[in-house]
Amino acid sequence: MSLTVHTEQRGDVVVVSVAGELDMATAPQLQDQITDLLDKGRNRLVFDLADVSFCDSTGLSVFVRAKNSCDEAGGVVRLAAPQRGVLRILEVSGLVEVLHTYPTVDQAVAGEPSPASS
Amino acid sequence: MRDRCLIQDQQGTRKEPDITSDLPRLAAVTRPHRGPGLAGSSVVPYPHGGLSRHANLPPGERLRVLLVEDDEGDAFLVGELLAETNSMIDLQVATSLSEARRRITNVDCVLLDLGLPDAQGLDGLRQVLEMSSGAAVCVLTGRSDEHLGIVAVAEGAQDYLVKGQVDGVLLTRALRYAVERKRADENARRLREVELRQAESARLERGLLPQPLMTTDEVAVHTFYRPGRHAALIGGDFFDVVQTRPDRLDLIVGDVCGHGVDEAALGVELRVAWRALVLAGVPDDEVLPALEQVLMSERRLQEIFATVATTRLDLDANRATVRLAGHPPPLLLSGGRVVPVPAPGGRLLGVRPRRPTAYDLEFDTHDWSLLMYTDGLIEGRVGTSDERLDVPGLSGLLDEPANRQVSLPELPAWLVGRAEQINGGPLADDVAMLLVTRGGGR
Repeated sequence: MSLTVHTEQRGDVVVVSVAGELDMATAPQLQDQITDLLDKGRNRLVFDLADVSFCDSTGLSVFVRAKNSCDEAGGVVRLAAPQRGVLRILEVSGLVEVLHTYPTVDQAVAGEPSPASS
Repeated sequence: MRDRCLIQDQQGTRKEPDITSDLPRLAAVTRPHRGPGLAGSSVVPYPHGGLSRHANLPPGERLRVLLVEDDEGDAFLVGELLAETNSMIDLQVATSLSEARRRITNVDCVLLDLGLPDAQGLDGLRQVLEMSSGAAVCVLTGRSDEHLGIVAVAEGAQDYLVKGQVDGVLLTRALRYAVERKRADENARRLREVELRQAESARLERGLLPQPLMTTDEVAVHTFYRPGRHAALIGGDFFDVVQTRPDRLDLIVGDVCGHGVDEAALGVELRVAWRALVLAGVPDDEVLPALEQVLMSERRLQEIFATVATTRLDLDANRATVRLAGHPPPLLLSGGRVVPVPAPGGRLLGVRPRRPTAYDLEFDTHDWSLLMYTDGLIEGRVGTSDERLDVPGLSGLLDEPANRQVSLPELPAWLVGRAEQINGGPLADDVAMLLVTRGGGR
């Protein structure tokens, strides 16, 4: 199954909307988009996961890498609106707080201090 | 020094064999004519000994040959030789190396004159070998440079032909043979590469999936490993079992994210590091933090992490301590029920370290099993939906009445079989499992 990635600037944040399954086969595609954004100096990223039906450890590693790069550049990575299965993977991996996960895109863009995890 | 003749006259310094047919021969002084077709020749002369005298080459595909030759006359003559013998060869001519470079794609064989003006001798050959990749290379040498032909073959050409000693049949045969030999060499090389990769994978697998280090017969441990659909890419799944006291057994199942030799090698390092930490008697609570340090200092890339589940069994007390670091929980089979061990989910190793919480599990009876596994087992699909098997689905499979007929040693393989059935095909990722059982086991 293929992955689609759209980006949209909202204020000082880029919302990266991902749709499809994020696994070993598709993760490089998202990684390329993130690399492009970072190259352009965009380091405040919100990933809209509402249409991501599946994410495995390869997918998680893309977010971890994005977070490391954005942190280094003084930016931020937040996740928004994960489906139940993806949220479960974030919880099992213990990354739900590390990756600042919010129930909605608006909340993630606003960066209110009430992540879904807490 | 160029030798302009493909075939020299009979008064040459070397005695040529008798030529009994009037096949066209290349000569600088006399332009060839079209002789009678080969089909009509009962005896076909071969200046070289040792080759079959059957004129008709076995039927085969058409070959595309690129002749790199700056002498128009010689180029014309090669074309004539091939035309005469019904050679099934499509000849193109390039008059220089730079032209050859543009035309070399989709060519089966390059026939190279070693005396080109823009690259004399072996230098030209090296350039052609570099640009030819899949194509075979034959060289043409002058009679006085025959030694160059031998050197050319040593450098990587498939064959050499001496001008003045070639007729159409020999030329055709040499070109076809060169192409076949190049293909055989390529196949042998690929086979060797595959063998090396397999040997490397096998070595890594042995490192990731060792023999349990235990002597007790209070419990039995059944191990299982199945590579994923992309079998060429070895995963970083690993497990290990170590007994440090008569009543104590430690077990670990883990997974380094990513697929490749580096990740697998890191999995081996973590597995060995864990075994060493346990054998060294490092306090239980300190083992995973130390393992995380090993991971973070040894990994190639910052974003590489690992998930692990560990279990320490206290056999005398019939008790277990389970720790999870980003890993799905073991399943407990006991009293006819299957439940995930409700250990708190700790953070995976390698991203903002946090000590996993220990969860103590008291067994009610002496008949139980713990199933530890990697996430490849639970990431399969459920039918055609977006749903994945996940932990509840896996528990459900173990609750199916059918598995009561399956013996405990067979249970891991049976589970993977069922997961694949529901997935509608082989699972994408590697699966590693440890099944530790006591008494009747469930």
